[in-house]
Amino acid sequence: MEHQNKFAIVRKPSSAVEKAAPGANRILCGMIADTLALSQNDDADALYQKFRDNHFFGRYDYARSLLRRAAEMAHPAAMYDCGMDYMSGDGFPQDNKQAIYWIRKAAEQGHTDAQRYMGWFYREAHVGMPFFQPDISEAYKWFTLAADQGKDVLGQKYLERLLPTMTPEQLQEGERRLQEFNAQKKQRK
Amino acid sequence: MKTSPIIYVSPELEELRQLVADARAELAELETDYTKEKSRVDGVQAGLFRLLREHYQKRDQLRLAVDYRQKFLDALMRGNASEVKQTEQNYEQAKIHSDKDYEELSAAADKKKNLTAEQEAELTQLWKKLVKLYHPDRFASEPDKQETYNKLTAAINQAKDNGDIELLREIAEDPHGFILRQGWSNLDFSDQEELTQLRRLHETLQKEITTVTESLNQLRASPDYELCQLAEQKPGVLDELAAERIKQLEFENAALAMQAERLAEKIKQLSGKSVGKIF
Repeated sequence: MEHQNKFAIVRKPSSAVEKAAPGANRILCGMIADTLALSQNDDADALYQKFRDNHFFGRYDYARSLLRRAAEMAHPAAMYDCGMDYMSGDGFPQDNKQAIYWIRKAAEQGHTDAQRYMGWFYREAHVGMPFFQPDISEAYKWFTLAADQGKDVLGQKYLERLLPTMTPEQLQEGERRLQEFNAQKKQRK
Repeated sequence: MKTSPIIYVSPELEELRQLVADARAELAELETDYTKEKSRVDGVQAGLFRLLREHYQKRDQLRLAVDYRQKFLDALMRGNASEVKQTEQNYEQAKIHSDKDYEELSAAADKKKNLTAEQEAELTQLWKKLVKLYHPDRFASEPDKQETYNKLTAAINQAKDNGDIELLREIAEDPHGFILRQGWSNLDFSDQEELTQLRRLHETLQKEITTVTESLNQLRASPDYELCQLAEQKPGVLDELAAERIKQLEFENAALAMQAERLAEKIKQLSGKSVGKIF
C-alpha cells in the first residue's frame, strides 16, 4: 500500500492559516496560547502542572504561555524553567537578560538548581552575556546557598573547587553577602 | 456462435460491498464532524486575530527594531563597515517578512465565514456523496487520471479547510461537471466489481478513517479548541481576555519602545547618523 499516504481526500489538519508561512502560524499560535493562558485562574502549582502536561504532548506555544503565567505568580520551579527557556531560545527569540532575570528570581526563592546556576554564571564571565561581570564572592554566595540545602551534591562540589581559588578578602566579602541575603530572606518572611 | 457471459457472483462480494458502504458512512460522519469543528475553531481564531493583530504586529516590529539596533550598534563598535551594511539589509528583509506574515493571516481571517446551522446540517449529505469519490489507488496505473484525481482531492481539501461549503456542494452534486469545468480529464468513480479491488478500497477506507479520527482527536486536544469551547460556553469571554491581553501588550510595547529609543540615541552618538533613516 505505498499509495495510501498520497491520495487521500483528507490529510492532516491544514487550514489556510496553517498553510501560510511558518512564521504566520507561529504568530497565531502565540496569540491563542497567550489568550488561553489568561483564562486559567488556577494557582501556580496547578498552572505549572498544566505546563508540564502540555509540554509533554508537544503543545509548546501554549505550554510556554502557561509557564510564563506560573512564573509571574512566583512559582520557583516555573521561574527557573522560564529562565532556562529564554536561555535556550528554542523556537522563539533567545533573550539572556530575561533568562538571568527569571533564574535570579528563582534562586532568591530558594530553587537549588537556580542557585547553582547563578554561582556558575558569576564564576565565569559568559560569552554572549557582556552585562555579566565575573564575581567570585557572589559565586561563593550562591554555591553555598545551593550546598546549604544539603541535597545538592553538585553545588557542594562546585563550592569545594571554588574555595582554593579564593583570596581571604573575597571569602570575607562572600560571607558578608551571604549573611545579608539570609537577613533579607528572614525579613521577607 | 454466440456465447453468453458466465456470471459468477462470489458470496464475499456482497459482504464486501456492505463493508465498504459501512466504512463510507463512518468516514462521512467523521468528515462532517471534523469540518464542523474545524470551521468553528477557525472562526474563533479569526475573531481573536482581528482583536489582537494591531498590538502583536506593533510588538513584533519593536522587537525587530531593538534586536537589529543592538546588532547595528555592535557592528559599529567593532568598526566593521560591511557588517554594518549587512545588518541594515537584514533588518529590511526581516521587517518585510514579518509584515507579510501579518498580511497573510489577515487575508485568511477575512476569508473565514462561520457556517450557519443550515449549512452544518447540509454537510452530512454532502460528505455522504463526497466519500464516494474516494478511490486512492484506482488510477495508479494511469498518470493522467491520477493527476486529475490528485487535483480533485486537493480542491476538496482546500474547500474543507476554508469552510467553503459552496465549493463542496458543487463537487458533491456533480463531480464530473466540476472536473470538466476545470478542463481536467474525466474520471470514472464507480466501484469496480472485483474482489481484490474492493478489498483494497475497504482497506484504504479503514486507514482513512484512522487518519481522520487522529486529526479530529488532535484538533480536540489543541489549545485552539479549548479556547473555542470557552468562547462558546461564555459569550463575551473572548473580548474580555483580549482586552486583558491588550493591556499587557501595551505595557510590553511601551518598555520595548523605550529600549529602542535608548539604542537609537547610542547609535546617534556613535555614528552621528539619525536612526530614523535606517530603522
